[in-house]
Amino acid sequence: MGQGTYLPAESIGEDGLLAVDCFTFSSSIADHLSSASLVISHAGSGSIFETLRLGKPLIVVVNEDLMDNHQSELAEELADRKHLYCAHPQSLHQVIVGMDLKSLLPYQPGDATPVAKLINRFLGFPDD
Amino acid sequence: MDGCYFCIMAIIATSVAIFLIRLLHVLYLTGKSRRLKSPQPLSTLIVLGSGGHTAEMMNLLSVLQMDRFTPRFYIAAATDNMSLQKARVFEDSLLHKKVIKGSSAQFMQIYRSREVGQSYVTSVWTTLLATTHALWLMVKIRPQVVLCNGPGTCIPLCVIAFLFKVIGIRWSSIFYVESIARVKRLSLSGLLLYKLCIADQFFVQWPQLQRKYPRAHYVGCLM
Repeated sequence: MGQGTYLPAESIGEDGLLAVDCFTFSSSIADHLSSASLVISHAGSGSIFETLRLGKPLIVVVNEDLMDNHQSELAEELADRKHLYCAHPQSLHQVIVGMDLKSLLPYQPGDATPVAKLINRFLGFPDD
Repeated sequence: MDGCYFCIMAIIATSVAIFLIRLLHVLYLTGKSRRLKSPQPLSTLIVLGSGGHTAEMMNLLSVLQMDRFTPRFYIAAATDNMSLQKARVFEDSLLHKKVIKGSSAQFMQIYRSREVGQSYVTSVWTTLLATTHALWLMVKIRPQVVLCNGPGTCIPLCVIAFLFKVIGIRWSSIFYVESIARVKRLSLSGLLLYKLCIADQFFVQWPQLQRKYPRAHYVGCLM
């Protein structure tokens, strides 16, 4: 799927088997996120913050093949602050087995208004 | 012949000297607020990038007063299909919410300096091409404000905006917000703009970066 070669087998989950659905793009990803009790995601900042803003438990899997791997800095920092769990493809299983979702701290959404204030002040616009 | 040669050298030397003096003067003024009180709306160039960059930029734009930053010019890389679309949606929502009265936004694409994973050697050539294209676009736009947050596309545009200041074509204020994904190290774009003192205000979202780069403003997480 995507840039990869592995295609998961879809399943409706009969007889106690895991239900699996897959898509490369969904316009309703927000709905899927809202109804999830756990999200496992790559380390893109958009995916991370979209999930954290919904208050969903999140495991981030870092792609080690990306040049300079700047994605891992964000995932590791947020994991240090206990907002999510961070894993590599090889350690994902261990992380899932050992995770305690209740120990995750909620993420307070950020605020862009300090930047707006500084920009406005620099340009000479009056403060709101 | 000697006299002619001497004249030409004198002209070149004088031009270089004037350019250098002007360059030092602009560098001195970089970061110093120059605006008069109650200023007019400013034409604004917004540089968009793939992935989280555009999402972060939209997040920033949503707290800026759009009547102060108009007309707006959005630029995205030619290979980036989503960003301009997101910008159009944003501008439509402004019209819809009656934040602005008429549409004053333009959407443009620029050749990319460097694709993700491209070798640095071939990047030199593609950057030169992108810079020529950027020059063409900047001559048309001549923005008074430049907003960017990380994608490589912003480098040629910011350098040209700075050159415009030096040459006297257009004075602008350049604002750079390093991406929230940069916690311990600056991106290449950020590093260049910081070291060359091109950005008037350089914002970082994590305290680790503010400690490493003291001329940056730490503003916390924006997302």
